[in-house]
Amino acid sequence: MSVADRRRVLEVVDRLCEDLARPLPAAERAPFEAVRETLHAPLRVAVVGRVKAGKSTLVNALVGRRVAPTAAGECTQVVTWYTYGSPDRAEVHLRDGSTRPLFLENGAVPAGLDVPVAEVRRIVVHLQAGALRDLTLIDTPGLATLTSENEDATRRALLGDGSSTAAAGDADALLFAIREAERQDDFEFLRDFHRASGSLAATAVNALCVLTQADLFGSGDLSGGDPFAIAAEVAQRIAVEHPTDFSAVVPVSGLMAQTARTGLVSESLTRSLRQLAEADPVLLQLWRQVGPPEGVSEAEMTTLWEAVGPYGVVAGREHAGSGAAALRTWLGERSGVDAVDDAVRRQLLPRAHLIKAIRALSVLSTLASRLPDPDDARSRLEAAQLDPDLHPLAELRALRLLSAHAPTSPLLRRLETVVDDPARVSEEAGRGDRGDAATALRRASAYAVGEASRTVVPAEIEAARVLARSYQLLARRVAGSRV
Amino acid sequence: MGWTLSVDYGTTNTTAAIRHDGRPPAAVTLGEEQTMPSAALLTSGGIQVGEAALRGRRSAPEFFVASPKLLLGQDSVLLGDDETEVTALVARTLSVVLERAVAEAGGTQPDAVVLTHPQTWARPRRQALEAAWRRTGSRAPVRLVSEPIAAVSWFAEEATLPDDARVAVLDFGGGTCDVAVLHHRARAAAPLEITAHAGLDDLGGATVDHVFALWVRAQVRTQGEVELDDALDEREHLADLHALYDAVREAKHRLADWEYADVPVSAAGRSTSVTVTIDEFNQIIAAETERARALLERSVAAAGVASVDLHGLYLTGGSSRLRWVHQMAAELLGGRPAHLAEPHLVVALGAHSATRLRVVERADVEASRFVTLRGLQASPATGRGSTLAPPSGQPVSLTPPRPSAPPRGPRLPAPAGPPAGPPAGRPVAAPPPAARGAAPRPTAGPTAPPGGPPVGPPSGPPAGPPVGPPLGHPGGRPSGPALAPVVAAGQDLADVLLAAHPSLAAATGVAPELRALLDQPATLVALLAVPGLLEQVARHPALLTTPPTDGRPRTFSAPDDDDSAVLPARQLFGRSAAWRAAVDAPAWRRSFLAAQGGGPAWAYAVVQRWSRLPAAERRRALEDPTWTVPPVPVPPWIERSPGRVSVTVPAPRPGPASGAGFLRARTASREQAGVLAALEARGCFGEGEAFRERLNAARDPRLPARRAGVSARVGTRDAELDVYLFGGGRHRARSGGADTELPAYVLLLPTRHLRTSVPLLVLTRDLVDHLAPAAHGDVAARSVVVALTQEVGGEVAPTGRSLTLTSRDAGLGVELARTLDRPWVPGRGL
Repeated sequence: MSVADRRRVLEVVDRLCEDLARPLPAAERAPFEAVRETLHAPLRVAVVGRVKAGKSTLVNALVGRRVAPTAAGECTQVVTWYTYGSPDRAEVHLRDGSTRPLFLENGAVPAGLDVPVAEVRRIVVHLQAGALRDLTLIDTPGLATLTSENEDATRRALLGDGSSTAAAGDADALLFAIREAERQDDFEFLRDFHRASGSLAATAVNALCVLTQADLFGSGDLSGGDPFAIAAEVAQRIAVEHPTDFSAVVPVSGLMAQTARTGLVSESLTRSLRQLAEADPVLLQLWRQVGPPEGVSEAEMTTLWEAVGPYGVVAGREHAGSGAAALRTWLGERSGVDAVDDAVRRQLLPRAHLIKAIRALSVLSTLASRLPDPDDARSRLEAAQLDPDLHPLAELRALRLLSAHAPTSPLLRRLETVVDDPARVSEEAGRGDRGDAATALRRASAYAVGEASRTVVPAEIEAARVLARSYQLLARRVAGSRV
Repeated sequence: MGWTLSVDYGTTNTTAAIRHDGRPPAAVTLGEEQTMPSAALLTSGGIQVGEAALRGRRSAPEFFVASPKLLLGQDSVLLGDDETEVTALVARTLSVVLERAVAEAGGTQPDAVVLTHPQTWARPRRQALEAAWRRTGSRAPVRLVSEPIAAVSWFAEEATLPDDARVAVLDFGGGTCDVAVLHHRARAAAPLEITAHAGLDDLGGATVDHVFALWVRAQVRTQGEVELDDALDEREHLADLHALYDAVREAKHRLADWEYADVPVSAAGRSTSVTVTIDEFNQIIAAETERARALLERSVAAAGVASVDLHGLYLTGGSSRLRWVHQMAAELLGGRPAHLAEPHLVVALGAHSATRLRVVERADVEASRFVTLRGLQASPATGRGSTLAPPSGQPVSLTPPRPSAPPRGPRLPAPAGPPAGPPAGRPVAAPPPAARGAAPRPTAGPTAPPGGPPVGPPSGPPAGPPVGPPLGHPGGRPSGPALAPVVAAGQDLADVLLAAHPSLAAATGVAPELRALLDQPATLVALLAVPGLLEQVARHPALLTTPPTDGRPRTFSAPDDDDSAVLPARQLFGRSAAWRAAVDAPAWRRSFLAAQGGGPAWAYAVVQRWSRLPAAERRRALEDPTWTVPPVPVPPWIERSPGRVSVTVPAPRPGPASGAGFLRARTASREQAGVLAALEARGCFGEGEAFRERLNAARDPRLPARRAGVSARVGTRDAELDVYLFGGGRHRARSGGADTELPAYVLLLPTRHLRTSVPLLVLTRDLVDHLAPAAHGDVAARSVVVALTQEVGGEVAPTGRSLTLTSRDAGLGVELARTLDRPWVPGRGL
């Protein structure tokens, strides 16, 4: 989507915020200002899941730094934002509104805090990390933690705490981390999130499921079964059973991913691994009991084990032959983190402005009921939603329905194209027999009307109706720009 | 006298009601069913709406809009190459509504108009709706009322709402599902206040139809008809696919009243049929209905009310006829039933009440319309998810037809398929008469009375099993293709009507209690004189056979015009060529109207006289349009008002027991006594209470029960009975007490028209020795002899040691034997 397209969407919502806040005294405009601010901030992606689901490890892998505490026995106690900033620093935001600096120990968030967890709203970590240039990652305490305070903190951060400022929470999109089999209340939480995140909530559009610890699936490499293959089957099953919850389900080994992405794959590590090339995989798995193979020290073995895990050691040996770069590449690819990255950058980021606009409208509609003239506010909101410039929101919603319910529909590709690259649609229309893009687009619109009449699948009817409008609006834009 | 018009312009259908000052509102007849499709079609002759537009869906899909309401708020839509204003599409439907209403109201324009709109609509869309109304040319002042407010107002007027009552409205429509929770405070400035509402844009009749159709197609494949199912995906058989969805819709309607339905499926010269039972149906649509339940529960919770504390739950929208919805509502309300009037009319009727109550809409507690779809998955393996798949023979490609190169003119790019697209330019204005005959709706076949009712095309038979004559009413048998109006002279008038209307006769086959209602003069008069009613009842017998939840009699009204006045003669005698010619001849019509008046009063006179006519005169009446009937005093249930005549039909409430006595085993059978005691303890036999309702409340509704219609020889009489087979299971205590597990039992209940609420007989295992088939003259019906171990019936009506049941339900005997776990002995019946 072009910069101009994005700008148009954001402008409509911006203007709406301004209009709605205008009758209020300056002191009460804060929630509307917050909506505007969020609108222009990088996409906020929260990593949620049960305790020990490997969320922080995944955050580290995605940020590319070992900044979140992941050591055994430690767990994330407060909501932590990782956002782009220079120099590296962190601060603690307290519930009372005050902020205090936080010392990063060896560049990492300390496991303990000197203030009671209950008083902390969030930690914000600013990092000069390339991965954070266009998204903010939010690490969360696990759901169903031993202390219900932690869970409350997560729910508040994501679903909003009922106060007007955080009406629909902070996150725009979710990475939902699941270890082994999914649990029912995880999905209930997910549904709560979708409700909180917007009226036009494009659920599968803003949620990815990550099946963590994929390297530990099955019984490891001992039996010859590939844990990633087993994890992929589980992921497939989740995807089929929850077509509307996630845009994709990706098996990931957080450990391998973190190692690959945070500068742990050194030439010496690679060399250690190479030395194991001839070792019996069964004995390798049992090295703590039978001792390390000949020529490898116990310290080296421990380092390897902690860096890539049993599967990584056994399967990584054949990728260690040509240096650290090759091993790193394999780890990144095999761990699944590349796929997560790809999904985030391909599915979430290009539509970030739409996801943000949907969320903003949802927050605004909640705020509208508290304005002096709610009917007027809702009318302004509706007018904005009907604005042709916000038609992409309807497209995204139709796209979600369609991909969930009629994934083989021929409309899917067309809808994706108008959502992600409307310029190309116009351009291709202009390459037709007579080069009259507007006419071609008008025909495409009429054709889509016919498709809505012909199909019997509800999601296709909706998609065709939306497409008809998309082509009609594009035709007008083309006709307008030509004159 | 002034009048007000209300219009409920819906996503799928539109209804309207008119209210004359000081009188209750009445629905406007907009088609066959007091409702018209909201669809619109652009033709060379302008915009067509309603049924006429639906016919264009297949022939001119690019000019067809199924739900203009969903487009309101956007300026225009491209139909062919015409930028057609959305308000123009909406206005055309509203104009038709206005015309019909004006005609029914006697030609004057309305003094005021009320339009209803979804709760979520804010000013822009409300204004668009109002603008569309203005395009009709009406200058009456317009008020807008939200749909849930209108619905609650209707129920509030019917039964006074107590102060501080909290009520919920579930509007389960064709394309959407909405919930509103309202708070009633009698003395507040705003007596009705919406405290929470939420909706789903992707749940409704259409989604239910879709999952149902997918299931039917899966059954077709398991029947081995893989080619048939594959053919449905091919472009050239698109019409068959649409026909399947029509059949599925019909079956869904049937399942609102019956325990099973058959869905005919055909394509490419092959055909089959799939039976679905109510239990299967409930499972098929479980995911959809669960979403409705979740929406309802969440909205009630958002309003801060415990669902059992709701004063009432009101159901509106066509999909709330689904029985599952009633069950769910009763569960939510702690066992109380929800309120269901005529769900498609409630909003239009209530709009009048709403304008009189001072109502206000508060800010939304849950403003968002969110979407959580599940369970509606397409199966990628079969490409089932799309009906827009490329035609067969073409490689399946996901590449869309590139907008850069659509074919010239508004044609479909489909390379195959006989209707390669609509003709260039707009479709013709009106289908020629021949096309009318070829309309997609199945017609009643060659037995359909030509020159039948003036309203709409002849309606097809229900999609159920092939229906024969109702048992014991041979006159109701549809005659063969020969149209000879030979009616046995001994027939009563109801039989004459049934002989003339095979679709109605078929309906009495599936709803035997309908036949008994035809013996009521008011019902017969209404069917004869109210345009469209007969067709509607033929399709949905429940309209007459189901007692209204409010217990009030139903009033049907007809316009007081010449066409309506001759309608009874047409309905009754239309099988005769002479009568057909006469009612269409202006001279005859003039003299008939002048001498006899026609309309409900004439129909009533015929009803009154008929039974006293000698056979020869009956024969003459059937053939001779100069036959006349002397006038009789008009009964109070026929009311005239300017422009309208209304007929009030008593509610079909089961009355006190008459005749059919209750049969017990003479020497108490232990199990029968146990079942009787348990049912008695739950108040099932309470005076004045409908046994079925009591039983439903007592029995866990999820337990399967099977129902069939039989005729049984009891003593010396034949009785029409419903048989309920129940496999045993938990029965709820009435209040407080412990639940009981009951053994399997079979109930023989009189059909409703026997006017008793007490079961004739409860059969338990220990009462039955064996069951056996018996020969019967009628091949369609089968007899089952139930050999009893004890004599039942006592003094009232001794049945001896066997009971003969006759049914058209082929599997009944075996199922009875299986349910009661008694031997089925083919050799020992006779």
